[in-house]
Amino acid sequence: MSDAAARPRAREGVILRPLEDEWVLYDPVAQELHTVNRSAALIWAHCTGDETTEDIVAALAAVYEHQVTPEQLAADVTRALAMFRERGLLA
Amino acid sequence: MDWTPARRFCEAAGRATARTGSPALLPELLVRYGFPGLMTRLGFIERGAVDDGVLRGLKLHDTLLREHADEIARLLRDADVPHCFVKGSALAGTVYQPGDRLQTDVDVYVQPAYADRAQDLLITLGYLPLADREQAGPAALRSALALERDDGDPMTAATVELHWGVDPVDRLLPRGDRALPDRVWDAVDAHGARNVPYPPHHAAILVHHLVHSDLLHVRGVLDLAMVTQQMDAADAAEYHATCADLGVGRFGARVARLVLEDLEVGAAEAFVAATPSAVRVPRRLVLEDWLAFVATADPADDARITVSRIRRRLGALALPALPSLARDLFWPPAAFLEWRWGGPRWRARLRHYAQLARKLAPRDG
Repeated sequence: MSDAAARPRAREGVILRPLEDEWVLYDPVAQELHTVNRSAALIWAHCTGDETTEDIVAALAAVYEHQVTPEQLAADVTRALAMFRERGLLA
Repeated sequence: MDWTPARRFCEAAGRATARTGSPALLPELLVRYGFPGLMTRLGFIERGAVDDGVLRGLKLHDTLLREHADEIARLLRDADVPHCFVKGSALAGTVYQPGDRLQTDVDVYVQPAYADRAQDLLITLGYLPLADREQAGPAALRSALALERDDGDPMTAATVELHWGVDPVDRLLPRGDRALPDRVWDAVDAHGARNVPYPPHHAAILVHHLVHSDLLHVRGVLDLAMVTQQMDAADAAEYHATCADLGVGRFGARVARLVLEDLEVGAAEAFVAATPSAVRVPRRLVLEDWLAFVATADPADDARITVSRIRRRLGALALPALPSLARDLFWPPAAFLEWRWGGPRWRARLRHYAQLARKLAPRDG
């Protein structure tokens, strides 16, 4: 399956919350707190296991229309998903 | 929001820690006092003095605890259980932002007739009563129950203190024989996300809690100042009357002066004028002394401070106001000595303490 067709799914129990000017992901198993920016928080919210990476890029494009090129968005999503995966936050 | 009381609070904390000759103690004490986020935000302590990770963790914990409180509020409202949140849960969002003030639990009062119903409802949310020995005193004498939803992670776990009565402050053991006065229930503000008491009533409840926690709940002082800011001169008489209802009339007058004068909350004249003539305030409590007293207490001891350290500290620090407070605060009944507090060594200490307390005689008026 290509990366674009992958359907990333957030690990159960991981908590996303805004804290003033930043967002955090809390992993209750590792008891670790990860700060993320708004885009990454938005990407995380789409990691439902139902949406493909392509869908997530499209969802972000609707939010950041005219601000970022589709290529940049795709790169951002790929980078964020890699970070989630590296930190063990995806199922 | 006028943060003058918080700044004055910090200054007093600074002076109190200076007495120790170790200014580096201040950030630690602010964590202990419970306002690391607020003090950092106000610039009283330098960014970095309290670890960013700690602050971030406190913010998240606070945020999650608010969500727990909101969930409980919805449940109690839907079930038509008369209730009100107090202390941190009542001030979260309207006064403090997440992480400003350390919150350790959710405090909610219900009317006594609804205590069982409220407990059953909390159980449906996954809260379970703590073990009997972790509750405050023997079951038959309790006026509150601590329940916990514990998934093994301190970040996401939550403790609820479900109160249905107010313990007399001249007893160390709870007795469950006094409900919050009707005046409090008649004026509960149910317009926000969580039901909260009318400010002068809330202030009196905070004073009662301060007394009951042996003055160690220092963040309650700043809570009190922030609640007092929401009051006008006309509320002063209501505050004093509610303090009297709760059996903390004299202490309430004393703490009001501390809040008004040391923390510079307005309406001081009205408060002094509204103090019932029967309530004499012979000596002023000084915030700096209070904080110095708390700074020298060992937080790990917590409840045990009640029965041993306080007595020793009172003598060691020679703080003029505190001995006279102590005689108001501790008056253990016979049942107290019969309660199994953890072995003969403690019982012996308690017996000694009880004798001392009896010598100190007068009750709060």
